[in-house]
Amino acid sequence: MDKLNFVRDGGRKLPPGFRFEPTEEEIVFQYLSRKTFSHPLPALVIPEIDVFSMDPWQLAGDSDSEEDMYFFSNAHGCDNESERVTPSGVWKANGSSKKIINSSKRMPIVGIKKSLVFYMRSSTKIVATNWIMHQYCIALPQQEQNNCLVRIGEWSLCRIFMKKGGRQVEDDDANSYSASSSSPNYDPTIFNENFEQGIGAVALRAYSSSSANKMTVRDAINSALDEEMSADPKVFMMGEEVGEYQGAYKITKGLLDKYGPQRVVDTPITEAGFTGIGVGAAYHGLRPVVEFMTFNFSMQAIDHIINSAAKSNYMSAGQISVPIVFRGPNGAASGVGAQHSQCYAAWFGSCPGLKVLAPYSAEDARGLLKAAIRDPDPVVFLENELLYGESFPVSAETLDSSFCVPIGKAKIEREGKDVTIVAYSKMVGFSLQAADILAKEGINAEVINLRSIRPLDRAAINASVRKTNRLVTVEEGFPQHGVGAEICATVVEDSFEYLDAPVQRIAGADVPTPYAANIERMAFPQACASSFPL
Amino acid sequence: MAQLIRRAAALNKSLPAASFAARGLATASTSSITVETSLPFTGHNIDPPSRSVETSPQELLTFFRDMALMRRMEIAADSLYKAKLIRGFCHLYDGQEAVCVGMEAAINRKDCIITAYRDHCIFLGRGGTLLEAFAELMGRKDGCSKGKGGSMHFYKKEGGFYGGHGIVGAQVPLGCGLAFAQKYSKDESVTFAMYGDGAANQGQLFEALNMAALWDLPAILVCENNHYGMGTAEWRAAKSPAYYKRGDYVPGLKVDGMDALAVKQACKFAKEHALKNGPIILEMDTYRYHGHSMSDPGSTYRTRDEISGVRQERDPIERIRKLVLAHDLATEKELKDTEKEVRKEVDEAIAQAKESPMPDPSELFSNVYAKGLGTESFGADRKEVRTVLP
Repeated sequence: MDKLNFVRDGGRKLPPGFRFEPTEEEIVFQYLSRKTFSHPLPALVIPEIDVFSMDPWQLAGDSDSEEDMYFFSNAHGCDNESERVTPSGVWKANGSSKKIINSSKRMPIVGIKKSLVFYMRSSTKIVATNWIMHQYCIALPQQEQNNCLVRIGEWSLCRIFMKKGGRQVEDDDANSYSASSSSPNYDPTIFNENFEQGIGAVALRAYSSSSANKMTVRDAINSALDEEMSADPKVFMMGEEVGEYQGAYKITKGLLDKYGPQRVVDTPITEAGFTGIGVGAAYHGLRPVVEFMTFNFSMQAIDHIINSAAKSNYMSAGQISVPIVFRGPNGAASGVGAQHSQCYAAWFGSCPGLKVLAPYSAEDARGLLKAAIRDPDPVVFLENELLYGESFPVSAETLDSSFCVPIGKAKIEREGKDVTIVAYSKMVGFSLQAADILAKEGINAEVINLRSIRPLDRAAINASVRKTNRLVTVEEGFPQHGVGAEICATVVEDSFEYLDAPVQRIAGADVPTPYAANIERMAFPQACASSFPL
Repeated sequence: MAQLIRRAAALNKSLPAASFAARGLATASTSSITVETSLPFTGHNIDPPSRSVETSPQELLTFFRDMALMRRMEIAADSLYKAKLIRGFCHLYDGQEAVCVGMEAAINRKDCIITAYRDHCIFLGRGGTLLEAFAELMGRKDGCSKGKGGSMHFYKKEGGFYGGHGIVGAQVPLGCGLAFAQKYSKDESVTFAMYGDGAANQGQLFEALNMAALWDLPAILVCENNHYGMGTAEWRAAKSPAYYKRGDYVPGLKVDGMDALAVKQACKFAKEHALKNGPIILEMDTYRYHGHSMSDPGSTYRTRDEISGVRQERDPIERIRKLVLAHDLATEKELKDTEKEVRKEVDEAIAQAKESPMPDPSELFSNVYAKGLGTESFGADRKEVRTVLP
């Protein structure tokens, strides 16, 4: 296999859709250690840049990506508390450090991670920005010196990103190793502590992922499936790669081991066949959860979803109800092309007899999926691949095994009074970002997370528009006959006198999704401060 | 000789309704008779069952009566359709009665049957009544689907009948799903997924068969080969019209579908096989006298001689009549009387069904969901016709 080389002209040029999401262990032991000892790297994805010679926003170069940036830089500042100065400001360590240990315990070296915040210089003061850096360096415990750590090598690996709403920066002070230090300055004692003493505590911190009140959407769905399968023996899962592969997107991880192959069924690549089998099993009284690897493949089975599932209760006058859930990722991912990027909310949402849900947060995903599995009607559950890895805060109530979110009720994510923005799935996140941007201009937007495409919460939407008098709908799907069209029609029909301006739709572009990154960005709504150049 | 007096209440009795115990027969009605099927079975990857079928006078007389009832029902439906009391599609089963009746004799109500749109007689066999059938055909509220389904959407869940499906071929994966559920629940019962020679070319059938074989599902795929998929003869639609062989790794059996006893034997054999070894295909060689549906005269793609030829040589009711007479189980007159009774039963059911009212307008919005969650639903005029789903 050819070595992957994505570093050109000193910059990183990843192909669209290529995701570089290393764990901290990978950063320290696969990349930084090898770089330090001049061993070959797994992939050439990290350019060498003196990160302190530029301001953080300049580091992106001409890439428009919002992903984390990784650079090999000098180890300036790792040994001492000096500030790292850049042309327009300064990086300041927030005082916490974290030790990263090799889980196989074969390597004696240890990684050290520092968190820094960029402060911009403005006349006489410095102002904190949302730019965060995690600077990793490596150190060796010196046995003859009581195992105190000595930093080695000339490189550090820097991860630089912009803090976004909802994303937690992992090293908050509560997790900090140097708990005694409350000053924001760098604590030099880290190199003098006893190696053994700290190891247990750090090991726990190094390997615990989310704190008790944060959850990724992936974990939310997995836990919901787990709990519902545990509670009702009639619930079973069916789909491609849901079992041994642990799920194409690792959503069903661990379920095969826990429930066995009778209840977590790997199917051949035959959507029409296995969807029909799922619906037939539901006729007989079981409660299948059928996974489509993406909803693009549901088109192969759409006859069974609509004609065999949605319409049966009606045609049989209530004799045959179909308690089935069809779930899977819907809408665009990143760089997967026209055949793998369509949003099906509008198509399924138009069909009587179906319930169609589109979660956004982890709470939505958990609660709506549990409600869907318990519902006696066929439910289409539209997830989003790019949301799977996102973490959201969850309440203790959400984590309870009987937690359900009511189907057919929207959620007001952000209260406002000037304009109503209605969105679902990933676009809720974008809408919240847009609301933040609008707030700086003095516009107070109300953001509604639909949660349920069918039944549509017309009451909530109308109530909101009657308050704000303006409506904007946001969706990823194609504009013609979309979800936004139905929302606009409903508001114009029911709340016409309340509107101060025509209703507005924001939707995906009226084209099959292109592959090239720049025009793919143009094919979907984006949240940004200025209008997008064509 | 005491004849049972037919009263209106008897219309609601389901098949097999006849009781010949009241007849003063010298032979005990459950004594065993062995009959040879007229044609041998042909097997594919399996040893076919024996041609000798165990039956009894009771069973043979029940076969006769049930098939005569079904035949009469379908002919009556023909007249009702021409009188415009039945609308839309109407696919008639006359000629194919032996498949349905022979299958019922081999199975119980825990076993499931699912079929396509030619479902009136199978519905009757699973315990449906004449009143429910005719009322549904005429779109009245006493129909089995309360008038909301129509000819193609008869269901009887408590009798193990899962419809009644309009999309050609869709019922086969659904049937394999029923079998999946039976295996999952450890029911020790099987599913018969019925389809025609036209549907036999559907891709989803092979997808479902693959999974049924992979997972050893107790599914029996029954191809009712009446040799015409709508207007297309089998040799024009299928490169290989040997439908019992199309399962490849799945064994198959070719059966004379006009012989109720052969059908019974094959279904009994298939059920034992499916419970132990997974799916099996049964091809029933049968024939329909009517066209594909009521809008098809049935003579543009086949000759009238062919139709009358089959009726003369292979008619399923005539075969049983000959058997009954040959074994002296009843006289000609008694059989003719049975046919008259059956005709009267059908006529009374139709009269009662005509009295049944059409569904209440509120039924437009009922049963959209099993649990409506109080959502709003709209009619054509959104301002006037709107309701809340319970």
